Amino acid sequence: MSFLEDIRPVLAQRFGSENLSDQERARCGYDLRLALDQERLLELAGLLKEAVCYLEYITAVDQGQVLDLLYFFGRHDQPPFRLQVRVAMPKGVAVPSLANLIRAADWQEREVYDMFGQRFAGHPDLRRILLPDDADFHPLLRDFKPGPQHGGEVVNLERK
Amino acid sequence: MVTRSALPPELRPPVQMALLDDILGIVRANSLWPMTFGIACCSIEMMAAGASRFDLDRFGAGVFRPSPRQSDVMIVAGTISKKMAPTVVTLYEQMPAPKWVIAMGNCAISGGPFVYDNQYAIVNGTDVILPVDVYVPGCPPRPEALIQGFLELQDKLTRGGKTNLLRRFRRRPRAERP
Repeated sequence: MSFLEDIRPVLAQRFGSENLSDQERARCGYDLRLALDQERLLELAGLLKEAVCYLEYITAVDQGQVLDLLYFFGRHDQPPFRLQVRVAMPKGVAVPSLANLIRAADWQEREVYDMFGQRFAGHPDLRRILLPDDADFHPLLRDFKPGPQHGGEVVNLERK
Repeated sequence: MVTRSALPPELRPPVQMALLDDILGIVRANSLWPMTFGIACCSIEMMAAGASRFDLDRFGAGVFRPSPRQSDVMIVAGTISKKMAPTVVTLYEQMPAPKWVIAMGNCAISGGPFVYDNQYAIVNGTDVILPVDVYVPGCPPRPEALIQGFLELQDKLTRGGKTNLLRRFRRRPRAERP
């Protein structure tokens, strides 16, 4: 019996089968998609941590008014298992941080903050990670328009 | 009796009137100390240049020092992101003078493929933040190209290859090169 068959009824029972949808792994790279409310994110992460799943990565998609946060959980199994968790956040609202539960989430959440400006409540050290500390923009947002002040000749060598 | 003029030129003692700067230039040129420092893929070629096959040691520049305090050549081998730029400058400032900079690869020369309208993360070349002595083009440059860069730097320090009396080889004239 595969892990997918084990975990699917558990997720369907606890988080609602209407939020769960099967995906074709060969096409999109993951087996299950779960649409989740942000209040239950920590609960889900704790459950998956107990089930020896690991956090593969966190990313986001700018949908205009809403930022879709995407969490990918995987498990080294045969056949392999991957779950996509989709949390729709209105822009400017903080989402609970997983960093205190899963250490790998620390830098991942910093990157999402860096690129999309999403705040994570309870993150121990939410600083920029890829862009300079003094950057005042979030480049992967759709309304980001780089100007000459962002060009390659403008470098701030001051360190904080 | 063998007279001095009968000796082949490479066996004649290298006695020459020179300014102190010229002597120091010869000494420095043949004992360059690069810093162990690579910021992107070009550094893989830099490591190859230092390893046994290409053997940068033949030119007196093979011992990569793990501290800027012990180095006098900084090889900027790779893309400089804006996040990294202050660190690169700090490392340069920590090196004791006299010191030289080799910009290795297109990213270190000009920003390379990362220069386009609306890019926000990459510095357009080492010369935006540091004085550069030798540019080594390529993406990445072959180890031989980096070695040639070192020879150019040596020539710069000794004001030409002919005055580098301690060098143990001579380059073929350009016409004879393959």
